[in-house]
Amino acid sequence: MPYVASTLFAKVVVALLVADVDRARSYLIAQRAAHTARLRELTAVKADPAATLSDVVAADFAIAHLDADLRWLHATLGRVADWHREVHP
Amino acid sequence: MTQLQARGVVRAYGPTPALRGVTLDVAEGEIVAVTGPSGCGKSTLLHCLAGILRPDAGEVTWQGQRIDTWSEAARSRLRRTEFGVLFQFGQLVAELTAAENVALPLLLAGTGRREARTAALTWLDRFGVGELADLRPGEMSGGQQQRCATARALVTEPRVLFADEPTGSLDTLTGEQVLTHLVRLAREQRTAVVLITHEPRIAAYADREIVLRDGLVDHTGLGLDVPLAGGTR
Ligand SMILES: Nc1ncnc2c1ncn2[C@@H]1O[C@H](COP(=O)(O)OP(=O)(O)O)[C@@H](O)[C@H]1O
Ligand SMILES: [Mg+2]
Repeated sequence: MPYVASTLFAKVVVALLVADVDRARSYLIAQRAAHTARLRELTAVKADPAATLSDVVAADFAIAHLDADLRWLHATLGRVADWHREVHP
Repeated sequence: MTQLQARGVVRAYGPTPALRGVTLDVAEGEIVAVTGPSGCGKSTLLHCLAGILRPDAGEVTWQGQRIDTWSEAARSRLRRTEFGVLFQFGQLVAELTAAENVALPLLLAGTGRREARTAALTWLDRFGVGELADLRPGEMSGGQQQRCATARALVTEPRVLFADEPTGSLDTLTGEQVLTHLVRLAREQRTAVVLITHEPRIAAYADREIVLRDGLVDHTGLGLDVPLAGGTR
């Protein structure tokens, strides 16, 4: 998944959190790794001296979305961790 | 090949532990991002690696030699020659022009005035601020100042650049422009970079990312303290 342009992804996570927290967490972690890898690829495209203005602008758009998703993934993982601590102190 | 290494580095400020045994290798020319939440020990680690602070325990080695046991004078010399240091802001001398600021590390290292000025102008040009050579920091924008500060950190062609949130005080676009220049020039001259940031999009410029949490390297890379299902940590 290059970046998330729909709420489908959030819905999947919410559904998983209800059903199985460990699976939800694994899914979040895998997504975080995939997003981070994609962020690196796009950053390399942009940092290439041969990149054209349109390459850079297109990469910027994707990076802005990935960055927002990564923040959300991180916050959600943090919330799951807090919840875990409360339930299993 | 590993050039810089921290082994089991421990450091506290009075009763507050900042690093609780950090091990990290930096290879020649490698760009390593150090990330993690505020207060996790990133700046303390950078200060220990750069020989600014001495660890309470553990070792820091540079090209196979322990530097944490060196005298302050010897560590300062290392920072004037092999190491460069770049902070978030406020490092340019207000009374000096951009060119004088950039020439300063060379003058301190014993380079002649004319040669130092020529090198300073070259480095200002490389960062796209050559036309600001005769302005003082107060006459420049934050982004222009940070470009000058970066030129100053690289003018001695250090083997390692230590950068602590170098874009932290800049807007997204300006920060990115400074960083793009920094990374490109560091790669050209094979300067290793230890890049501290708390932003994923900045860390994405590095070859590798180390996550710190509560003074330790977090090998899950998550900055979370709940073990994974079935895993050990
Ligand atoms: N000069 C200092 N005196 C006392 N405590 C400090 C000092 N500098 C840092 N600390 C403490 O050490 C810990 C690590 O700080 P620091 O290395 O600055 O973290 P980071 O750069 O990741 O935000 C924090 O708990 C911080 O409050
Ligand atoms: Mg810090």
